[in-house]
Amino acid sequence: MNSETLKGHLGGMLLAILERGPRHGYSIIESLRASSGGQFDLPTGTVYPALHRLERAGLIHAHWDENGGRKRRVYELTAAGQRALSTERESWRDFSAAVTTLLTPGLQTATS
Amino acid sequence: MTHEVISGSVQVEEAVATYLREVADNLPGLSRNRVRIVTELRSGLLDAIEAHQRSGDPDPSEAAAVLTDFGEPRQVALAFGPELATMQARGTALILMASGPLIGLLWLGAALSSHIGAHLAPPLDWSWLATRAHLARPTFALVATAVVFAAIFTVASAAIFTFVSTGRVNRWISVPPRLSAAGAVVACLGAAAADLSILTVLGFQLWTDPTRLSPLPVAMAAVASAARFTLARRAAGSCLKVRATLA
Repeated sequence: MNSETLKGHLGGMLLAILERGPRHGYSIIESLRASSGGQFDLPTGTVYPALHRLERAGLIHAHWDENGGRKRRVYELTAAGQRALSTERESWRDFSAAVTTLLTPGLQTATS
Repeated sequence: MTHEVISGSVQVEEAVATYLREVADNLPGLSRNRVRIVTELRSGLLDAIEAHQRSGDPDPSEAAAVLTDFGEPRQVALAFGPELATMQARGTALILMASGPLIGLLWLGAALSSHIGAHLAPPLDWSWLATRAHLARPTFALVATAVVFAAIFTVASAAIFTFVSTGRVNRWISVPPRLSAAGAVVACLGAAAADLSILTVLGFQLWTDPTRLSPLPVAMAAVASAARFTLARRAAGSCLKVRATLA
């Protein structure tokens, strides 16, 4: 999928992945790939700025974790992030339903 | 640029180090923020390379592919630009909001300890109202006091705007990082103008009537203002530089 198309939804997708539990950067990227069956092929380096943006907005929280001599930043969803994810899901459902109606042949006339 | 990973952990480490150096060279902003980002990217890269190796893909070119997959170092650095500019603007605003009242209190202490119950020292010296004969002094004091208060108002409003616009308000509205960086620049210049004005008033006071000043409190306030003047000027330049890297 085109990376520009993805960027608009990246925040919501990252929140959805962190809903499953705290994760560090690489684990988030892997989950993003695995959950989309390899469809979401963003340049990996662009995911990190998006995580920092969500952190600043208070939607996720990060802390440093040292394991095996390697420092990793672990991200987790905040209560505000959980609420934002619910809102994102709702608006995506409405949006995708509207687009499906418009793009599916015959569906538009059938519903009108 | 292609990242050639030959074999073994030393070569991999070297390739990662070269990649990260390129990213770091292109990251704008303060070095402590850059170090934090590079540390995080380093662990992400090594995790990715190890995952490839664990999945039974010891081919060195696969490790190089991880670096390519991460994105061009310059592009990765550019992607961090807005976030780094925002972080720097926020940090600058926070420092100005914390140092402003402190420096204000130092000047107030200097004024009160110099002339409690009689004439206040700058910027609160209103004695010229009773001595209209000395026209040069009242005009100077009036202009300088007006400049100080205008600068303080500018610093306060620009710093508050910057702090708010770089925080949680971004959940609901997206404030362009260039605007926040501009707010920080205005706040820094306002702080520098306030410090310069008050130091000028002090200089005038020292020239005309130094005996009215209480040396220690005045010296402490003057040193604090002089230090902030220097730092505010530098911070303004630094914020402008980061702002210029944003598209």
